[in-house]
Amino acid sequence: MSTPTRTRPLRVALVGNPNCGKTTVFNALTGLSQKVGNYPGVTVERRVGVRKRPGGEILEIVDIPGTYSLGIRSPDEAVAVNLLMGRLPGERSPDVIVNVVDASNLARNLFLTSQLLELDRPMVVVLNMMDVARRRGLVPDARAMEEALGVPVVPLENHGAEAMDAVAAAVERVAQSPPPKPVVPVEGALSKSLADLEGSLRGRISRAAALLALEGEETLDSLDSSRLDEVRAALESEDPNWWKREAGARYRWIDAHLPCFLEGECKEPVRPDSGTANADRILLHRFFGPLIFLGVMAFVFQGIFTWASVPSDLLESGFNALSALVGRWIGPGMFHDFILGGVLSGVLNVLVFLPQIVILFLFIGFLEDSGYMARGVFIMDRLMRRFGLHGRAFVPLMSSFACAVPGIMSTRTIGNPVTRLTTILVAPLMSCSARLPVYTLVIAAFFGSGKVLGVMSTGGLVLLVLYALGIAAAALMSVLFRRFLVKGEPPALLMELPPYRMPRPGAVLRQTWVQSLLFVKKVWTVILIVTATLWFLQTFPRDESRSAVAATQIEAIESALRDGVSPEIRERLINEKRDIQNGLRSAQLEQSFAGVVGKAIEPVIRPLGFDWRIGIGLLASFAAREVLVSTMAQVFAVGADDEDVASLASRFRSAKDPRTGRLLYSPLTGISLAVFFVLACQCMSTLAIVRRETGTWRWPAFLFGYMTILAWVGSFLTYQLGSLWMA
Amino acid sequence: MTSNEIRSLSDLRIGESGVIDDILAPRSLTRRLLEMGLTGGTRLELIRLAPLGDPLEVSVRGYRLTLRRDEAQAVRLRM
Repeated sequence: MSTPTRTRPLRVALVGNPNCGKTTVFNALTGLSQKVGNYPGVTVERRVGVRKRPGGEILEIVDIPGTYSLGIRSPDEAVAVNLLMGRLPGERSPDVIVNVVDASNLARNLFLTSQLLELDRPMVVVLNMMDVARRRGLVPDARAMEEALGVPVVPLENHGAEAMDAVAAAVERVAQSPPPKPVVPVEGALSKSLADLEGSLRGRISRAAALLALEGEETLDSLDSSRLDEVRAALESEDPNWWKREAGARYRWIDAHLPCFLEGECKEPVRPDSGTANADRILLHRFFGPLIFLGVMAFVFQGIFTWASVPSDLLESGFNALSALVGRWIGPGMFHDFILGGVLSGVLNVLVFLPQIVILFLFIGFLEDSGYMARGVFIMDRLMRRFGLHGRAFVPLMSSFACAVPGIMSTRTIGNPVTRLTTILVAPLMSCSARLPVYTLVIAAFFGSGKVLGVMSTGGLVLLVLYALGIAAAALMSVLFRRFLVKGEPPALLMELPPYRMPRPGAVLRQTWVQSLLFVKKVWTVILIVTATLWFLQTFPRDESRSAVAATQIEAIESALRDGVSPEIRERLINEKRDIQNGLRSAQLEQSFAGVVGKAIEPVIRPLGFDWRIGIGLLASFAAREVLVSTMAQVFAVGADDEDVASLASRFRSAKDPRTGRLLYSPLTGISLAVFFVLACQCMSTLAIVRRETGTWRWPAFLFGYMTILAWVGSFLTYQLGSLWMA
Repeated sequence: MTSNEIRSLSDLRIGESGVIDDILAPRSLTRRLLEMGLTGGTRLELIRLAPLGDPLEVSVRGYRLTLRRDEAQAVRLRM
């Protein structure tokens, strides 16, 4: 099948059961030279990597979605099968198939192997998880397997360079040799139908393609469909259960050969994995199991929420120092403002997510690699299913309480595209850490003191209600989405509970590194562009005459300060200078494009209790929610430093309409604003990552649209019903 | 030891085992179960239930499989 003089790299398809350690092999084979994207139109991850070694051929390695069989019952399985058969548009058909097999679970893994052998393509079997196998007293005999399967079998003791060289060498070797023959014999009516199909087709077709065609999951280009229907109908009428027999025959073949696949000393009965069984007695215990799981999750959450803030804060202060340095170097002026406000803050907006992403993926890596993740799915599935989701949706959703960006990235562990998409669409409803400054501002402004029922502070209660609102909205929306939008059969939960094993730090670190790098590579353009645009909107047009007046005033104060004044006057002058600067920034913002937009949308947000000032804040906070706080500070001409949150809160509470002299905002406005922030997708980074994960702008556009509508309706109801109730 | 009693996997008590007689589910689910190794004549043991009573953990062909009660209902066992 491969041309003798190859000008293109050898294309290798890496395929295996879920949990067989395929990703580790892929990472070890390709290093960091991998591209991750999506197959067009489906939420199925496409991973391709290149392996270049001196003296070896260039291998282009495609990671096929994990699958238990060559059946087509979901979009990811369709991608897997079509890729293997070279039927996916835009994808070259593989020259060699590398089948990763979990050595500790040979029987079930060999089912797929027996099907892959029927693809009529050169193939190599790689035995993974040898450590677990050995612990259970199962030592596969690679030589015996090679003989029975008719393809090279490479046992992997580790994932080091030498082991990978051995895999690559086997790949290069088989690429030159004829493809393997099917090993499982067919009987009865099925063998007649297969012969029938072969007879109708002058060219040969692979056994795998013929079986899929008979199952009705595949057409055969070279055969007109009425002929195929005829063969199919004949088979179904002669033996309606032929497909059960076919699967049974594979396992019969495996059962017959398994004893010879295991080395002599191991032919005694397989030792049960007592370590795993004992651990599960506690970890899956009716009471302790969920408790331990919640404890682990609390630990993970704490990690993203608290620990990540240390490097994030460091990053931020480092960036501020850098900004100051760059600012001094450039000198004041428009270019200075642009570099600081439009470019450097955009870079910071990208990098600030990295600590959370790194920490979450480290945790997920350890949980997956140790085998505990599957236990979490086992425990949570019943609960998540109530909302049309899957047990696997729990970790991404919980992570989204810290930040939706790593949360959405981690939905990749949900194999099924239906539940994965639903999870992506509701994850941003979880109250993330960026909403907390907004909640804090509202609480400080309107619910600072006071107790409910004498024990709980009003502020604490408000916070609790806001978090609960996010969860309730996510639950409701996921039920609605599963019913009306992302329909499709609820995927069956047929999942292996793998034996526990020591996580391998190397594999976990590599996966974390790949994910972090991918995040930066994929979203920095969007985030930089949006940051720069928002800066532009808030800066232009400028009121030059006003800034000139302010500049003269400041000049006068500075010269007075230089001349030397009494400490008392000095302090007054400094305050005065700050007020002038803040006043100027406020005035500039009001007449900028952002101010114009804020005023233009006022009629729309008026029913929510908001005015144009908050409108500007809503617009600006699209960069990141917490920007609302600094923008409102600018609107109210308050400095944006941390110690000014209290003064901002008091300005917020006591702000009066300059015309009527009445209070601008009531506690109800505060609640309405908080509700808006619970429900709205005010986050460009989330939209950028959804675009990256779904492969299209359609879903981020939908996400933004539905959450904005939800937020508007939520705030509208809050404000209007609240007003009625108060009146 | 075996009797002719046929029971559904979802009716098993913890620690009980049986041999697969048939799977009475739509073709796609049946296929999936077969592929996971639940072919006729295979012995299954119910290990435990999840804390909320669903899904189930069973031992089959030397590994541990979880499946939901709905899916387990379709698996008929000879006791």
